[in-house]
Amino acid sequence: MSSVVKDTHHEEHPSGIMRWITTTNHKDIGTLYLWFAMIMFFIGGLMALVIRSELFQPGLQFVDPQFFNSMTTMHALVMIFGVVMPAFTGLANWMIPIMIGGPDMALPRMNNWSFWIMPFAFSMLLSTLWMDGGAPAGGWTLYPPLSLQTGDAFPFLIFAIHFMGLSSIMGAINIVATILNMRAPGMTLMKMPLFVWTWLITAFLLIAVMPVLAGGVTMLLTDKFFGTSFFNAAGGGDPVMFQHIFWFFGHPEVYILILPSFGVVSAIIPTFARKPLFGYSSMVYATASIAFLSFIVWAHHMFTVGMPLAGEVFFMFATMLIAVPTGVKVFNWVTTMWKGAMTFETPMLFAIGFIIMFTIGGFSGLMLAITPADFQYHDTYFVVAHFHYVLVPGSIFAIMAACYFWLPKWTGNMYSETLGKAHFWLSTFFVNLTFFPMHFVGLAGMPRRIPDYSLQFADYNMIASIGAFGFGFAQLIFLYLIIKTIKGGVKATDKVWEGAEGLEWTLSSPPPYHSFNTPPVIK
Amino acid sequence: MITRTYDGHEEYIISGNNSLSFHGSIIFISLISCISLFIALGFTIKGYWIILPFAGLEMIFLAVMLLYCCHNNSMYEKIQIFEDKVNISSKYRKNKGFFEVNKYWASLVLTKPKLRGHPHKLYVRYKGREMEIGVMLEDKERLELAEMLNTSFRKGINNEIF
Repeated sequence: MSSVVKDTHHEEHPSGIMRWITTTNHKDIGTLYLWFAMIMFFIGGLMALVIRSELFQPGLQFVDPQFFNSMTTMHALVMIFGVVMPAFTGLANWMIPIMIGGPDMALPRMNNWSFWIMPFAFSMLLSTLWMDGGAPAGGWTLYPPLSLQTGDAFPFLIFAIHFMGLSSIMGAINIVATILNMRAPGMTLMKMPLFVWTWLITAFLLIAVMPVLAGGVTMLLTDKFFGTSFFNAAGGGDPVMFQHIFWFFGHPEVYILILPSFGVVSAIIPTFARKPLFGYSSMVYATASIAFLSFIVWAHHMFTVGMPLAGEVFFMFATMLIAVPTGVKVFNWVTTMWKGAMTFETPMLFAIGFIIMFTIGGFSGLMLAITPADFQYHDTYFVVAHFHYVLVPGSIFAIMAACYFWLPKWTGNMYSETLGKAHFWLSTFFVNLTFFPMHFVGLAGMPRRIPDYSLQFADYNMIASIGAFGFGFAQLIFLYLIIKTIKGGVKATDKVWEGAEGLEWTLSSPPPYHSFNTPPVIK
Repeated sequence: MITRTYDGHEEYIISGNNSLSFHGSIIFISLISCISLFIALGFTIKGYWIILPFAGLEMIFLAVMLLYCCHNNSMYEKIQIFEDKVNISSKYRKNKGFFEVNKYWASLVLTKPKLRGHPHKLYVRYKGREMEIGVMLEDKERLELAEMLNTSFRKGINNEIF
C-alpha cells in the first residue's frame, strides 16, 4: 500500500474577487481586515465631522438633535468595533503567524468566516440610518430605558452587535489557538515578540467578556420585545444593573483597544533606538497585570450612580493601581530609547507621539479615577477629551505606526518618508487642536452628547472643530500614501529597517504566500 | 521533530511541530472555562442568567477548536527498520497509511526543489510505488533524516541516495 502526500498547492491561490471571498490565507485576511478598518475609519470620521460641524458654533445649524445623537452613537460603534478592533485583528492576522514562525493561522477557514461576518454586521448597523425612528441614538453604551426607545433600528442594532461579537470571538479563539499551538520549535512563550504577547492577553480578554456583552444586549432585546423585566424598574428589574453588566464588558474592552498598541510600540521603539527592549519580562507581566485589573475597575464609569461609599473607594483605588503597570511600560519604552542610536522615521515618530499623548490620556484618566473629582467631571467634555487622547493618538496612532513599520514588508516597496512625516506632523498638530481644548470646556462644565451649548464654550469648540477637519483631511495623505506604496516605489530590502529584529524580517519583502512551510528553529 | 529509538530494531518517529500538548490544551481550556463560567455564574446568581448560555457556548466552541488543532497536529510517521524489511506507517488527519518494503530492494529518493527556497522531498520507493516521508519536517531536518535513513538502510547493503 502506498500513500503519497503531495505538497504542490502551496504557492497556488485563486485570483480575482474569489481570491478575497474564499481566501484562508492569513495575509489576505489580514489585508481584508485592514482595508475594512480603513473604509470604516472614513465613515466614522465623516460622522465625527457631522458632530464637529454642528458644534462649530452654538445653536442648531445643520442637523436636528435626534440625528446628532445618532451620529455620536454610530460614530462610537463604528470607530470601536469597525476600526480599532478590525485594524488590530488585521495586524494580528498578518504578523502573528510570521512572528511565531508558523505557516498560517491555526484555523484558516474560521478566519475567513470571522472576517466576512464583519461587513454583514456593519451593513446591518449602517442600514439603520435610513430606518423609521432613525439610527440608534442612546449612546454606544445602550443604557436602558433610553436605548429601548430606539425605533425600528433596535433589533438591527442588537443583532449587529451580536455578529460583531461573534466575529471577535472567532478571531480571538483563532489567535489563541495559533499562538499556543503553532509556535516554531524553540519559540517559548517568553521569547515571543511583545506584539504576540499583547494579542494573546487581548484575545483572552475578548473571550472572557464577550459573553457578558452578548447576554446584556440579549436581555435588552427580551425586555423590549418579549416582556421580560431584567432592566425595567416597573417590572422589578434594575436599570443600573445594565450599567454594571455593560461596563464589566466595557472596561476590558478599553484594554482590548489599547493592549495591541503596546505591542506595536514595543516592536517599533527598539528598532529605531537600535537597542533591545528594556525589561521584556516586566512588559509581559505589566500587560498581564493591566488585563487582570481591567476586570475589577468597571464601576469607575458609574461613580455618580449612587454606589455605597466602600464601592466607590474600592473602584477608585483599583483604578489608580492601573497606573503602576502602565507606568512600567512607559518607563521601559523611555529607557529603551535612552542612549540609543535613534533615528526618526515615520513609524518612530508615531510611536513617540503615542507615548507622549497616550500618557496625557492616562493622566486625565487618573484624574477621572478620583471619585470626588469624577463627580465634577462625569459626563462632561473632559471625559471625551480623556478617551479620545487614549484612542486617537493612542490606538489609532499605534495602528498607523504599525502600517508604516510593516508596509514595506507587506508590499515590498518603501513608502514616501516625506509624505509619511507630513502625515505625522499634521495629524499630531490637528489631533491636539481637536481634543486638548475639550479638557477646558469639560472642566468648565460643558456636558457631552449635546448638539447645542452655552456661549462661553464657543471659542474652544470652534478650535476643536477646525482641528477635527484638519485631522480628517490629513488622513487623505495616509490613504494616498498607502495606495501609492502598494502600486510601486523603491524596492524594500528583506530587513527593511537597520535595527529590525525578529522572524518577520527574515522573510522576503513581500513575504511568500505561505510564510514558513517548515518551521524555523529559534535559538 | 525526529525521535530515534532502538529496541531490537531501529525506529524513527517523525511528528509535526505542536507547541501545545493535549494536556496543555486541557489545562488551558479548564482555566479559561473556570474564569468565564465564574463571571457568568456571578451574573446568574444576581438573576441575569442569559449571560450563562453565551459563556457556555463560547467555552464549548473554544474547546472544540483547540482540540481540533491538537487532533490536526497529531500527524506522525513511524519508520521501523528490521533486518530485512522496513515498515512505514503514517497518520495525516484521518488518512492512515502503511507501506512495507523489502529493505534490500527499497530505494530512498531525495529530490531537489525545482524552485530556490523550496523544500527537498524524501521518498521511499519500492516496486514502482512510493511514499513521501518527513512531510512535516523542516528542510534541514529532512536532509538529516535522509542521511540517517540512508545509513540505516545501507547496513548490510549498498543503497545510494540519488
